[in-house]
Amino acid sequence: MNALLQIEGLEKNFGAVAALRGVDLAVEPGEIFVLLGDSGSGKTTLLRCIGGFEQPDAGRVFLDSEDLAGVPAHRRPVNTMFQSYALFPHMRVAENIGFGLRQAGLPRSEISARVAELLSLVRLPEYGARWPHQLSGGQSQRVALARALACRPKLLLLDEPLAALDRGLRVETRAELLSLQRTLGLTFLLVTHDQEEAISMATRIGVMRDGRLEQVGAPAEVYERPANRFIAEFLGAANILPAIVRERGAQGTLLRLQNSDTRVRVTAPGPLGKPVLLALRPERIFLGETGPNVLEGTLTGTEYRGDALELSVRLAEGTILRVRHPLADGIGGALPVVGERVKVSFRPDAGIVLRD
Amino acid sequence: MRALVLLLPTIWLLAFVLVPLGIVLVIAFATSTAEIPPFALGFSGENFRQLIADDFYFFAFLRSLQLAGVSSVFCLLIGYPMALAIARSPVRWRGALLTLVILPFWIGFLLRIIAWIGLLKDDGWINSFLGALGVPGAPFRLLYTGFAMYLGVAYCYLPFMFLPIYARLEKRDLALEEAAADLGASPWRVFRAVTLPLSLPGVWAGFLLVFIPALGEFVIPELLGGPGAETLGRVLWTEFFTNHDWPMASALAIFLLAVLLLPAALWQWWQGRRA
Amino acid sequence: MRRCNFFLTLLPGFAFLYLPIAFLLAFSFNDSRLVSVWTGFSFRWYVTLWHDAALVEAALFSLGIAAVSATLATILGTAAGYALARFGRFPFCRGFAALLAAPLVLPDVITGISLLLVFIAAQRLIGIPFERGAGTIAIAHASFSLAYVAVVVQARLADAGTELEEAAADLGAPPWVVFARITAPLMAPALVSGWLLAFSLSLDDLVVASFVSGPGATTLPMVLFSSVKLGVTPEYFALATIVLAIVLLALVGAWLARLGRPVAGPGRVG
Repeated sequence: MNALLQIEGLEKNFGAVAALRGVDLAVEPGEIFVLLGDSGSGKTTLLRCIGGFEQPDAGRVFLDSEDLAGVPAHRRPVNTMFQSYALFPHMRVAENIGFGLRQAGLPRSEISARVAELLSLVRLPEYGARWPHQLSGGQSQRVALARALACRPKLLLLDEPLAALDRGLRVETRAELLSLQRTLGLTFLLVTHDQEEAISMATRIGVMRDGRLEQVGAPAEVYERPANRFIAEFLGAANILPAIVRERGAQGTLLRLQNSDTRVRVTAPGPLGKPVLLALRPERIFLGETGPNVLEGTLTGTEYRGDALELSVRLAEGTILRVRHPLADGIGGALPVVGERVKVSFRPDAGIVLRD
Repeated sequence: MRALVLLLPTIWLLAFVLVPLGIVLVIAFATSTAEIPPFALGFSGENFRQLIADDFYFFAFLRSLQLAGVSSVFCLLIGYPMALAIARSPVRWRGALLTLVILPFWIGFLLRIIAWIGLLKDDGWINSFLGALGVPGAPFRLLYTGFAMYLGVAYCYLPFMFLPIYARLEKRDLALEEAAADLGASPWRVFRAVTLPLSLPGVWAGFLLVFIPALGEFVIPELLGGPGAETLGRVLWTEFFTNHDWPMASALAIFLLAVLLLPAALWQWWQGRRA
Repeated sequence: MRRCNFFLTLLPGFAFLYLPIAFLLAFSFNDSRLVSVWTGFSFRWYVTLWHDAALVEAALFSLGIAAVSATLATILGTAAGYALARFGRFPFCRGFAALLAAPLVLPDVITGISLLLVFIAAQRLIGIPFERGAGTIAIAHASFSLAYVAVVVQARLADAGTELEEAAADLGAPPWVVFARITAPLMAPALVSGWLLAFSLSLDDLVVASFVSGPGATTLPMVLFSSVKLGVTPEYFALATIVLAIVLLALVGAWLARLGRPVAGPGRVG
């Protein structure tokens, strides 16, 4: 196998709680793999099992084809960037960064050189003599990153790296992390609950729920072809409409929406005669009768977002559809009024067909 | 590796806490003799029979209960407002205020009791002060009374009541109190409905930390109580040092232990229920 | 109005706490033996104290025992506190914790009598010559102090969390390095305050020492106790004032030391 990290059937229980229920995963060298999930999904437990801070109850972890079973945390060629940074308060920044190098037994001169190199890499060149409590949140994070990179780990584990930062800093740090990863050719395994972060940073995303990996794929794939309802609603927003498959053929799939008699045609396949869920993302629905699929309803809410209009449309059977209509040409003309009867439409390739 | 760390304290605890208590149990069934050491091992229930039969021990037990109970309440009445005031004070003052509360504790309790003796005795400072003011009825009998004992226990045990309550109050969520006030509750109601219930675990902990040791208290009744204030602690001491009746003293110790285990066990059970 | 309330609630409490202290302080300098009237400023009681051989000897004896028992208690208590904070649920951990907590709540008469009996039993049955004196007192004091040290250490470790130790391991530090370079500095403040607490508990103990000591081994509290029954003299106030002065000096010293450090923590670790 040429995957850098290979996980097979990993299980972990904490008393009666099953944190991991048989997880299989492969991370390729040079990629950024993002584990996305809520708290309780098992993503942090998985990270800790790889780092060596938890012992799995079953399953195997292979790093570069080497089985890590029984290998304690301090002997794994994996480094972690902790969510709270965990900088040693009684050591200066330079000592923090050089800690791993000192454990590896490198000579003093080499350590200082490498620490200086790392400090300039994370753009904190004169900060070596400072104490952790003198650093801001963003600076602490960069020191934590430098410290984790010092030993040139094969795999870098990041636990919610952007969670503690405020909005503006987050975007900036995201870009820095990505550029660092590219320049150094590192492999990242990143854990987060923020789907926006996941989509923008990942080479591949693994969505976790209840201790299981629900879907793995490139961001576009997971976003446009979610495996189930949970993923469809977790990544971005989705309108869910129950429907039955009426026809299948070269022109796509014909669905009859339940509770109304509307027929819509989508390109995604579906099991004939069976009930399914049609998921429509708000940004794929437009105001007007532009597409072949048209739905009618009453406007129950409008929100002007500057770059788009967010509308709530109540369909005949009571379902509220959320529509995001981009304003590429500005608002031009009057806003539609609450209570108005409107028509919205979507293209066949916008429909996502789900079993549950 | 772990076993090594645990080895030393475990051996020590077994040798100097568990085994000693076991030996006390054994000696409680021994008979008193005039040898050295003054007991003969055997299985005699005589000591316990005497404990139950003789009224003297029963009243000593009641006095101990009274001492522990009243003193604990005293402690609470003094300690709770202080803890509340300090927990609500500006953060930068708290360290200094806490130090001020704990400072007297570092002088050692014997010396502080000596101070109270000097203050409370018939020709002590308080009486001469009241006399100088012309208060009718002075000098008052303050020392060698129940009042002096409650005062002494409350004074010496105050940190044990104060600290758990303070720890609890300090951690409280200000937002809850603000929400209550926002909804129209008066400060008293906010206290009663929000602050007090949340601080209760600290109150129970403080109560236990004062009540249990106070039940067996010896020095304070001896020095501040009169000749009639025979609490269990004093009786144990007398049996041991004056009467040289070690088996009887041991039986008293076992009895006291049993009485103490009850609130401690209740506490454990209640803690378990809350979890 | 709030400020007023604040002082109102604190004032009676502090007045209660400090009345005896102020009394001790003031009357230690009183020329007269009586505590009912102030006759003039004098150092005579300090002089009496200085010349009181029995008291001074007992004080030095107590200080020695306190230092030894505090050190013993700190070593044992740290091990116990560390185990409770970091070993999770080890077998018999509840029993261990209960045994550890027992001396914290038991009345000292029970601790005293039980320890004396165990010393005698050890002498008779196993032949360990527990000569009753300084040794037995130190052991007895260590036994009840170790619980306090364990509580302080455990609280500190629980508070600090395992992240720093995990980060060190993550960076390649084997367990003993983690302990020496990370855990120990983290625990250091707890160790210091634990030692000081054990020291003062030992100095303060009367009952347990009375039970387990032997001929010729009199501690300061024992001397004070027997003389107080004869009557209270201002000599003891002088003693109390000296102790207070030492404590205040130590406090000021600690405060100054904290100002000098760059970080609110264990300081630089090489």
